[in-house]
Amino acid sequence: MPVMSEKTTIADLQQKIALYEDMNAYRQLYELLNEQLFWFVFSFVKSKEAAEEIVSDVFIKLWKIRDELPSIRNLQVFLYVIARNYSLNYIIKEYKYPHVSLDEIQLDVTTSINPEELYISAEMSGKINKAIAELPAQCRLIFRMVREDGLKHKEVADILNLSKTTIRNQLVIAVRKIAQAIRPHLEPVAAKQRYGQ
Amino acid sequence: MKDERIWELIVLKLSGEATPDQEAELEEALKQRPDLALQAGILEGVWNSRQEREQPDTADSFNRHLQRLSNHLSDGTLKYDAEAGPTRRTFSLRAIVPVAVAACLALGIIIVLLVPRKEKAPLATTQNEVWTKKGSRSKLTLPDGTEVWLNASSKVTYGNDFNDDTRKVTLEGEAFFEVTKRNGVPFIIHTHMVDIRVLGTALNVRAYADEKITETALIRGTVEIVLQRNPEKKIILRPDEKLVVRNDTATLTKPEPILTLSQVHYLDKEQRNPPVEALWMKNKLVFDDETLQQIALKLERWYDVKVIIQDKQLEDVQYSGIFENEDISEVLYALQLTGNFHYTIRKKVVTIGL
Repeated sequence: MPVMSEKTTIADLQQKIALYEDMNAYRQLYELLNEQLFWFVFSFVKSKEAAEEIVSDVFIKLWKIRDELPSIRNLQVFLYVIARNYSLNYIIKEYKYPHVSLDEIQLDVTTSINPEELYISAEMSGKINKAIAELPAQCRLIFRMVREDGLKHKEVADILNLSKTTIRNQLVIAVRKIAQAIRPHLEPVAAKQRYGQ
Repeated sequence: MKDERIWELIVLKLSGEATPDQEAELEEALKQRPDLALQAGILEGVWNSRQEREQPDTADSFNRHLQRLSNHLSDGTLKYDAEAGPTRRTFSLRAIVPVAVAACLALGIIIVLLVPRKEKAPLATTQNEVWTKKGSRSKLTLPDGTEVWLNASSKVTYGNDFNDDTRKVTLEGEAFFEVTKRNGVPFIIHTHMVDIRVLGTALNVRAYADEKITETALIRGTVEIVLQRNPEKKIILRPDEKLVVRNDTATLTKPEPILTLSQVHYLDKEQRNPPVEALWMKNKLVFDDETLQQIALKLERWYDVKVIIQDKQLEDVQYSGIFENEDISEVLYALQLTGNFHYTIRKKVVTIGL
């Protein structure tokens, strides 16, 4: 979940790596960001092997430029941008999609909700997951980056080279689609129990 | 309030980006719209619910990453040990591929669309040409004192204006250059894939049109390499670095890097002998983890023969070896000891099969 402390942690690790070549900090940073970068890259390259290699290269790059880390204002965004560039290079080299743009790439963003935590029926959570899965690719990616990776609108905008307004509009689309999916299932009683206090 | 605005506020709130004013505005608006309030409540639950994504195994993943990192640091770009002293790590060709992408990017090379360059290497009106046939090697000295060893089936071309303001040669095939230093006058080697701009230096350039790669191995000095396909990008090589550029790009089926930066391969720690990339100068025929297909090309040039590989499965098997003064049957005999193949030599045709 997006929490302020995560950003602080990243900044802290960034400093330790830069100043002391701290391998432990490097490992912690890897563990913190590996998964989200992995799925971000996977959504472009569609291959787990390639995604792992690309994320690994992103972290190799990070290690190589550790001296310059203090001048990087937002390391998380920086790593996402490298990951995006590597992914696009990978795709270009693969020549499967000669002209790459975010709209055209079939993004594969896995995202799901856990019904037990929500006190909703499995059926409804199914509907919600379906609604998320059916979002347009770019919309789904943005939804995931904000909701699961805890990135700010501005950060997602920087990473994907889009405007902040686009990010917000895409999120509105996502949220409304999901809301539509749950509307027919809302029952006044259930609603009262949970939200009507 | 319009629904659109309410949704905007919901999104801001969910993303944790709503200002206190906006939160108050939303709360006020939702009081008027219990239907939306209900949806907003569930959405908040959805938004905050924990993910159970299919997870890449993190512990192993970090260990694999460390392995790649250490491969990269020891065999990759030589940022750290260009002048570090006599210890020279041997490197394995197998390490190149995973390292390459990072190596390319470490240099800031981003290969976007590979637009073929329109302008050809500038050629002077009168040309001097020195070339070797298959099976022969040669050495020449250019007007500026630069010495050039020419491997088999290779050609160096330079204009009559050589030595004026710039020194330019065109190379097809393989050559080792011992470039004389001239202050302010760069020495430029044009090949079909790359242009190499050197100051005083020694380097080996392999640019055979029928091979899959163009290789520049730097022994001393500094060179700057420009890709014909992407002239904006310049790659600086430092001593003992080697740049391999793949010649083909359209036919690849697996993701191999277009550029690979690695280390030249010395066999002896003391570096008394040239690295394997340049051993041909010493009349040594070298295979350094090379595929039979690649070896066939080398044999054809070295011995002026035709090599036919009958079975495709033999082509990608890799061999290493150094031969000096051996004739082709001795070389083939040695190769087939480790490889599972048979060969026949009739006149100038070598046939290799299962």
